[in-house]
Amino acid sequence: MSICLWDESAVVYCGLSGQTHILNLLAYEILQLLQESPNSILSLISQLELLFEIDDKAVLETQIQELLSNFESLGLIEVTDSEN
Amino acid sequence: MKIKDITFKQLVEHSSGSKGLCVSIGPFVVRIRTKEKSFLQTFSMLYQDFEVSEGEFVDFHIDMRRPTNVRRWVNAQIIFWVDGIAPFEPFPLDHAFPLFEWGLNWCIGRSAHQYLMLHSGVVEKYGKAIIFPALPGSGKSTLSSALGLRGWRFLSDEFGLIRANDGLLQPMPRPVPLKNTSIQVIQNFETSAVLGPVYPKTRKGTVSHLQSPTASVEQSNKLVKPAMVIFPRYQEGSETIFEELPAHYAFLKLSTNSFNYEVMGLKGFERVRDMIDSCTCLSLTYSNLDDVIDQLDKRLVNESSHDG
Amino acid sequence: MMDRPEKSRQLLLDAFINPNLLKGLPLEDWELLIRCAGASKLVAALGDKIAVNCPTMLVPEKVLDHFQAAQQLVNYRKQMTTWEMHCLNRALINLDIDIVLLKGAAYIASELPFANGRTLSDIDILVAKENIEEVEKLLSDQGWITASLDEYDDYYYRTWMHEIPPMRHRERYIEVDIHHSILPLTSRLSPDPKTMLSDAVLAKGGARNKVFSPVDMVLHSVVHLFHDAELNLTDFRDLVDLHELFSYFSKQDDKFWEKLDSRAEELSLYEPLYYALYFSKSLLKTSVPAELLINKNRPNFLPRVLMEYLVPLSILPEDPDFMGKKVAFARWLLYVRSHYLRMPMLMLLQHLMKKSQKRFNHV
Repeated sequence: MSICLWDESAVVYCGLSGQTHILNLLAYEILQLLQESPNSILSLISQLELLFEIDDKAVLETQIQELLSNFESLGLIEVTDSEN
Repeated sequence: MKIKDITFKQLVEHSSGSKGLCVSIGPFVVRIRTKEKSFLQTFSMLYQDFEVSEGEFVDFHIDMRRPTNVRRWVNAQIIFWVDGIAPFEPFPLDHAFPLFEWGLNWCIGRSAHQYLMLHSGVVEKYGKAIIFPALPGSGKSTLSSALGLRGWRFLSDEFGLIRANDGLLQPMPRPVPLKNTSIQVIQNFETSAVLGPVYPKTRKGTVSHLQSPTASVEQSNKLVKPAMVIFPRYQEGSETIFEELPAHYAFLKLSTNSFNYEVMGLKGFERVRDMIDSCTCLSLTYSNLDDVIDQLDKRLVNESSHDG
Repeated sequence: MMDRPEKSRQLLLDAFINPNLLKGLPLEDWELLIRCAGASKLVAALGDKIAVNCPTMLVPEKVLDHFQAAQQLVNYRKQMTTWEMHCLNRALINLDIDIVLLKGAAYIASELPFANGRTLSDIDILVAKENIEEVEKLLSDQGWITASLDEYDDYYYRTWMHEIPPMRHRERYIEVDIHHSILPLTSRLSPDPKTMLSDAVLAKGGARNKVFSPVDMVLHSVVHLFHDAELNLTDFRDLVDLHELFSYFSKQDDKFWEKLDSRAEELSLYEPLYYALYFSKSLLKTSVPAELLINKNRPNFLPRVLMEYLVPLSILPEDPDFMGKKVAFARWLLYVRSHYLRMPMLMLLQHLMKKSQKRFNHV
């Protein structure tokens, strides 16, 4: 996988599917965090809260859930069930 | 030795023999075998400055032959053969040249994946190349031709070849198939422009090919770094308007403009990324060719002084 | 001096027998070789073979361009295939059955060295016959569509073939052929798919999918080429596959040849195996033990001699500048043979009549 970030948007190339996607900043940060090390949804949320100074945790959580399932179907990440 | 340096008689002899006529066209060597004199006349005029190749590796082996049935003589037709395969339906004999051009595009497009292939015009001045990626009908052929006629180096009107390994632009200054109103536009723009026969009722309407500038053909082996990516759009009566494009949007536009972005995989991604990183990316709306050329010139001079 | 048609064949064979034979080849011969390899869809395979076996060999730059371009296309197809497999496995995740990868997909999953430059077009998988309906349903529920066939073709596929009509996901290009047997049900040979299925092993690297055991992988390729294919120009690369498989597995396991011999006996596949061994040895110089070729079950004298004459003529590319009628005739004879082997004569006639009726209806 290769990513490049320009201003507020990132372009990512997925080596598995061969597809290129455009990501917003939130999606980019999540992907970066997951690139660094495997992560559970809960710890992702707490890290992102700090990054984006978000108050409404519930909204963030649904967004992240949705994003992760998109990422998985695009072949960008793999979901394992050890922590969910 | 150039095509124009051999007599027509020799040309016919070469191309009707089993060894054929081999010509360097951009990075490719094409072997042509045919007995059709009218085709060769058009070919030798539009490709007059291209080098005859001897003893070099031939990339594409093309035969232009009539069918073996009654259409050999009655309403004569012509068939494009490449390595024993005829990928297209026969064309009317008098459309042999557009068929050759179309067929050669097909050969390159399906096999030359050592390049990221862009559907773009490409020109160069002051050692800086501009890529004009655009859909058919946007005027990129007309714009690149006009720049070529004003002394810019013309690299291609619709095949921007980006070498996969180093991102340099490979010239392929073939004759430009001007379509419909563009034919008149170019003739009015530059009265000395040399055009081939007019072919009515092709798939793309009326087509006539513009001869490429001699100096551009002579520099077919001189690769150059892209400096600007400009997405042109002709709009009648419009001022010349340049607008900066956000990088990710330019990425999207440039990658979808490529014939083989997906085939190129990670290499394709890296080449487009490098261009977005190193080039100024703009959109351009225009109607007046002289004005665009003037402004492009100024922008390139500016680019150069930034590098200074 | 060798005449041109003979030269084109020998160049291509030499390249796969031992690419070192290409050292110092004149440029015009490289050109002929690339044209012939192109006709057999072997340009990338050739480039890969040279890169692996003779990394220091001087190859003209233009030739390297052709290798690079062909390899790029192969990598792309491979990526699409791997991605399609990934999606298939996701779609079938709740189904607890064995999915056996066949042919190209199996060579990739088994990390066979020659798979790197090998071009592939679609995915073939094998599942037990009793699971096939469920697999088809799960896939069609998740976006895969069946190729649109008319009623006769669909009936023909489902009644007589060893696979269901090909499926393709509506957003992607790779076709998936789902087999429940390795030969058409009408075929003159009928190796039991259950035996092969039960011996299948997990592919390398913690894969979810299985592949045939080495001998069955070879036999499947053998049967495909010498019992099911038309043995025309596009089939030479299958013979190259066999040569590579024979060479690779016999190096991995010194009992390989014995195992292959007895498995062929068990599944009654000796006849196609004979041809595979014979042509691989005679054309590509595979080191096949001599005793395997004088087996009591080898084909009868007359068909054997005929095949030995026709097959090289048909599967090897001709010099593109000197195409002859002899080769076309050999290809036609082998085409008829393949249909004869695929179904009983009476049915063949009916099938061909249906086909020709359909053709005339279209006119």
